[in-house]
Amino acid sequence: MTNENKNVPEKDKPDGSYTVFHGALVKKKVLSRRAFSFVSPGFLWSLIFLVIPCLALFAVSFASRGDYGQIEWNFSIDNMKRLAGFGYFGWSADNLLIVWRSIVVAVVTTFLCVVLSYPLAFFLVSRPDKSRTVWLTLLLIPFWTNLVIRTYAWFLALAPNMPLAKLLAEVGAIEPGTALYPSTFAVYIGMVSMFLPFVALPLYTAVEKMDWALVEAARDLYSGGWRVFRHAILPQTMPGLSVGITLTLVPAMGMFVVPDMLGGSRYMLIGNLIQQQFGTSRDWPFGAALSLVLMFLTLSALMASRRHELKKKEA
Amino acid sequence: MKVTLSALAIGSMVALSATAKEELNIYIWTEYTEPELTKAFEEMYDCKVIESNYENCEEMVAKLQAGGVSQYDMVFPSDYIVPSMIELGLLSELDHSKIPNLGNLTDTFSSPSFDEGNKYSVAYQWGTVGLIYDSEKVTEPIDSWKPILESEGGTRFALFDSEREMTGIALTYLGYSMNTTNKKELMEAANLLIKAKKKKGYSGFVANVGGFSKVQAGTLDMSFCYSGDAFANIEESPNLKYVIPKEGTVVWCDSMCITKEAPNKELAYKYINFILDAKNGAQLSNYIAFATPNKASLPMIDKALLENPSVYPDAETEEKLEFILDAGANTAMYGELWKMIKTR
Repeated sequence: MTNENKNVPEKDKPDGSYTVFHGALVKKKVLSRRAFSFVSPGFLWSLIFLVIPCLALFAVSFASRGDYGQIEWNFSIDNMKRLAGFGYFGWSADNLLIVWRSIVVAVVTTFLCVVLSYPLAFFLVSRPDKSRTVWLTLLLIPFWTNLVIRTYAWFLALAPNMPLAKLLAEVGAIEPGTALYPSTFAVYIGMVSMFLPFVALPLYTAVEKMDWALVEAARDLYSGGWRVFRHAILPQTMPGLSVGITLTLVPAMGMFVVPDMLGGSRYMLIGNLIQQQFGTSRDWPFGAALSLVLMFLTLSALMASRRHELKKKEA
Repeated sequence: MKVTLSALAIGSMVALSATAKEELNIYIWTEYTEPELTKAFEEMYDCKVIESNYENCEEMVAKLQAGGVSQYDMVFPSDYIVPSMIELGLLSELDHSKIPNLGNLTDTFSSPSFDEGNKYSVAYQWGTVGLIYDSEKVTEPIDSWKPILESEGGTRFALFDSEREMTGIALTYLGYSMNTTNKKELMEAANLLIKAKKKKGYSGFVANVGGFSKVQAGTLDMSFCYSGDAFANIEESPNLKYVIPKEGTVVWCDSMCITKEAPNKELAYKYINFILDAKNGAQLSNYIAFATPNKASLPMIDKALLENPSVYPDAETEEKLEFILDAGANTAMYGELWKMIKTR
């Protein structure tokens, strides 16, 4: 901060329009202008590329599809009825099933990532400073390649003549000569490898800052492994964990490329259903309505976890 | 300052027009042109052909609607989407006097159901969806959709991940029109496919060339497949067989169209006429292994392709081929049916 108060002429000296900011006497107007110029680029960016499109999405969801795929602006709640399951073939639970499956895939993926990330985070922290950079880089390397290409790589890795499939065939878990995809197993392998760094990295920073004295204290008081984790480690790593869970759960809910490719497109997830509307069906209004549902689901999950945290802080 | 700037602008414009050739912007499916033929066209009319690609028609329509209509000269839409594009005002009406070779088209394509009288479109290539199978694993010859739609035993198969084509084939197998809007018939087709999903050998949905690749790689025994995808690669694996089942199947056709606000309509007409030329048409279809709609080209098509009833179906089979029509207001109903099939 520049010391603006030094050269201020006598007549402009402190009255109500001045304030002290970081030890400097600054005109309130100047301060608010400065704040505005710092905030406005980011604000404008989210306004133009996030808020306005979301509002447009909301508006479009009340329009309807013209016979040739154009958007017709006649206010109707047909899309909401279709969301509730009322369709051409009577009421069906298909939509509910799709949403339920999407939630299951997202939750299972997040759970697996968390379970795998804890040991990984402790491992990373225990490395000496020099080699730790190497390990962290290894964790990040997959991000250098595109998601679809990485998924194709799994095709190769899970093919019948590759070691993993051969080993499982040898043990008798699968028939010889069969690939490990498409299968649920392959879906979760793909999903976990996609999202693992999103949980592992925030968790790593949390573990790095951990106060080990608390673990020692817990040990001194004869608590077993689980209780040490529950009372000494979990509360300390909670900030990192909740960031990781959010970063995984939210995008995993809308993910459809990986389940489609590695799961053989057996099932429809909400991401597929949205893609269908903007693709083959050319039904943007219904696609918009579906996107709103997805946004509502993730936002309410976020708010629930935020409220949980706030309550914890108060207590 | 202003003077020098405008002088510069004029100067560069003069320089450009002196060196720059005319340009034809075509927006087409991937791997769908013959490079030698494009070169010949460029030499013949002293121009440059600029090719952009799309993976599906919906992507292409969206791009045209977003301003591409004045950016590209030509597009190559599939049959079913042509009526929508006409209604949306994306295509320009063709002046037949500028396409003297139009008479070369076979009867099927000289006035197709999706664009009667070729007012907006001229057929480019066509093909079918058939069944590809590994004759070492499926020993009995196949002539019906039954082995895949009502498979028995552990035959490994995949369904086709294409909404209208998959439901269309199921409807044809049941003896209905693939453009039906009768809910009872549609439900029957959906139930047939849902039942197929419960079979032991079912291994998911595959799209485009995926089915062929998986049968070739040995991870599937049979699958659905586009004719061109099969014949472009079938020579490498002699045990693979492609058939058009006796119940009939989907026939599709990609057409050459000129966009509504094409910057270079004249050159686009020349391109259409050039492709419709007997020799050029044959060269194109021999290269990309789809069927030509050009009657005059037929004598110059490779014997192996021409005599293969799966590429050029005989008259009896041709009667059982059906075009998928745009469902218009019923699109959402088909979408819902597909959601049902995929979800249950």
